[in-house]
Amino acid sequence: MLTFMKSKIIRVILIIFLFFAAIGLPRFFKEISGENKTHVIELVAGKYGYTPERIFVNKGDTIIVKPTSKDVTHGFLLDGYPVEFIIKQGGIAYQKYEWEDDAGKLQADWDKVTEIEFTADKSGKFIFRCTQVCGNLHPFMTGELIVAPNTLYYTMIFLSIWVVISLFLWFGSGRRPLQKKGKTLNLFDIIPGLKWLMKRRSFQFFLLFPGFVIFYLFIIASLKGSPVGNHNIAIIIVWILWWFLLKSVFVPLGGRLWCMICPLPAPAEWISRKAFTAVRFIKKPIKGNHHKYTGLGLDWPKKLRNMWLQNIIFLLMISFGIILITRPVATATMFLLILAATLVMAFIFRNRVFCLYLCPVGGFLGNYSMASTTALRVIDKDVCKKHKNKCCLKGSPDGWGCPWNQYPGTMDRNNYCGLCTECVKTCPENNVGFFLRPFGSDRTVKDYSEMYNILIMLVVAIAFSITMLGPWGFIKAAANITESRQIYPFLIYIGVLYTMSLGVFPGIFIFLSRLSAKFAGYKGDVKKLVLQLSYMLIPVGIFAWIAFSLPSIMVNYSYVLNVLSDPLGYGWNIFGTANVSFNPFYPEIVPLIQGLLLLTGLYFGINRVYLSLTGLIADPSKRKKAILLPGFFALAVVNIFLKLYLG
Amino acid sequence: MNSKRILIFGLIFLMMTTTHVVASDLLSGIVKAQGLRKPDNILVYLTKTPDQITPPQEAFVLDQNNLTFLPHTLVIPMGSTVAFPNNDKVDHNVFSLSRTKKFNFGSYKPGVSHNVIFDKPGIVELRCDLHSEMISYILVMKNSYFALTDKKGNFSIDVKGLAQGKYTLKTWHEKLTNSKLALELPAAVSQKAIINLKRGAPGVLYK
Repeated sequence: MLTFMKSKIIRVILIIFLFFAAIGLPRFFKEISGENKTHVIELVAGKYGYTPERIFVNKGDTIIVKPTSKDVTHGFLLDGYPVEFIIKQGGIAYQKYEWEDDAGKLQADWDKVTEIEFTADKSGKFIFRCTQVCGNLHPFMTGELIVAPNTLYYTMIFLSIWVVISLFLWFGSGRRPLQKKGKTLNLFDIIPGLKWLMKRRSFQFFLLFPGFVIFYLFIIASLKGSPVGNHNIAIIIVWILWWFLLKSVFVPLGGRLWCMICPLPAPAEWISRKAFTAVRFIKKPIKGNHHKYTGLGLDWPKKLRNMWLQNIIFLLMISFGIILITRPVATATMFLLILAATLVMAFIFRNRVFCLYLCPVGGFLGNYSMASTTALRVIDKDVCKKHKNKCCLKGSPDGWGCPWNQYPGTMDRNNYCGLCTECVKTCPENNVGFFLRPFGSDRTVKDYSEMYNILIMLVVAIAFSITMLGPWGFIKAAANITESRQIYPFLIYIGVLYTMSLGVFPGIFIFLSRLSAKFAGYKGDVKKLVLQLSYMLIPVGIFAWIAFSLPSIMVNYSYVLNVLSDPLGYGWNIFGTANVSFNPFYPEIVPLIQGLLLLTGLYFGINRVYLSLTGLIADPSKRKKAILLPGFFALAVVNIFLKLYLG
Repeated sequence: MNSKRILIFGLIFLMMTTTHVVASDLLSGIVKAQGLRKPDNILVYLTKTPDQITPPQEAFVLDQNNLTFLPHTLVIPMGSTVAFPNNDKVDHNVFSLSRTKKFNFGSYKPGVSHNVIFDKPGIVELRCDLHSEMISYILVMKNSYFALTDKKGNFSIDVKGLAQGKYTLKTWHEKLTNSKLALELPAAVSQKAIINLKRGAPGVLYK
């Protein structure tokens, strides 16, 4: 039997067979009763949710919605169905209908109605959204129509299990694990001119400067423009466009690429260097650096050289997350606080202390950048070993010593590399390259602060999926403390958030990891193994965040077009896009994409953690045992997201 | 016996050859409308018929409830009385600026009702001064050969008693252009009329 199971071909056939089983089995999950029913739904809309929050029907059923509003005018736009209406108080609604005129142009009109009837002829989960700007949390006002059989959801559950089982079968096949040692490509060799460009002293400045100007305009817009979030360019560009790009493009492709162009710490760095682009080199080093910085120039306390402060600041910021992203004043305040903090830090400490140890975004960017497909690295480590001056760390006439306190000669992780490209300029041996590499190439988690950050990010992604994308109005009200003015629900909300991210999730994960250490008969440093195993959750987290951010752009892109023409909500129409109507882009396929993204994250998580353990556990079968229980944890987490997005 | 038979057959023959009156039957059809949510409340009516009509004794009711006029379209014979009770929770002010019948009750309280006699044929557009979105139509007809379409656009008009001959079937809806269809009775009774309507500004009922 063992030899039978060890056969590679058998395993591959089994993987393929299980794939078809995973796709085929959910088709047997049909609706319970075959008869079509008529559901009369008394739908009450109120800030910022609907009751009932979720409507369950079978495919083919007739739905009669009798809507009313308990406060202001709300809307109802159902994904995937041509059903749209405006809800007023007293049970009055205006239903939209469209037709094509003789010229082939789409025309629309509204009818005053008291009920809306339609047939649930498509199965799956469909979100209905408010279309009338009803208040601060308007963009998050949603409800859900679940039409059984929800085959997509069950298929995704089976596929998530299939991913885990298949990877374990594959690991056991004795074959080379997928992508053992990632091949890297030096982009300097491939893209002509890239090296020349990165060697320019003004490279970072010119990349950063447009953002710097926009950033200050955004602060003015936040304070002077419309206080309604979705009429203010700062809110929309930062929290819809920037957040989406950060999570979906910058992090997976460039890691800390954002840090390269981040305008927030720029003024502090300019002041501390007394230069925009120039290098101020002094021959005699001061405290190991060939530069004299403005201010006291202290070094950050050793005990705080970890991510704990970042974790705390991030959690505090996230506690007011829904307020932050809907109130221009809150966003402006946050920017100004960060700006002030960077300036204060620049006068006391030297180098990018704020970015390294305080910036709440920098924390997760650092962790997630381990997985990114690009990295700034030395080409040949032996060159660095022999080189005595260590210009990259201490500085040279060509560039500043690493502002992120990294020594490229031994740097093997992206975490604390801000991609400022100073080392490209300082290295007299031209030994620094910009590498393209497979996703998830740095695979070491070094301390608990990093591990906690990974788990906090995961819990916050779940929390945001519930509060922002979910249909539960009471949770939105609890998070929306400045409007609801209910202190106890808010305290419960952040209490649950903190308990989950600092207690429950890390607790379960550490427990499972320790258990697997025993299970695998691991004799080494258990802490090291636990940390290493938590790497699994980085790809899971990255893809979960992409899945979370996806609807914001596919559903709310029209807000971006609106604010570009009317940045301050003053009624301008610069590019003629101020009145582009709210019209989500294929919202019905969002769950499918989200499901596939989550599966991708699960695959990378388990696959890469298996590779990462090579150094700790040599025996492949023991390694498999070690990742079994944490693998179930990752599977469970992915299924929480699947439930929220598809179920 | 024989003479009786001859008489009966003769009478039947006489009836068959000399009757100019259409026997009891329904003129039915379906209206398809471009640019409507559903093809209901479309008036379908016959013209070129004898303009004879007797209004009912009882008044028609055009209700006001929940900021809505009910029904949305009320078709009445010329000379009928319509009551406008306020059955809402708030005051309403029903008025008409139409040439067919001009009136304005002023703002009145729930529980109060007003009556109006519509003595000229045509369209009456009703509005409420207090609630601009409230709108309704009273269509005053010259004859009793009319019908309103149901949810699916179906209609049927009882043409019993109409003389054999050529008539015109017309339609009216506030969001559709009018249409005309020439037909001949009794032949038209046996086939379903299909009327396609387009979105546009409507005309008058009678020229």
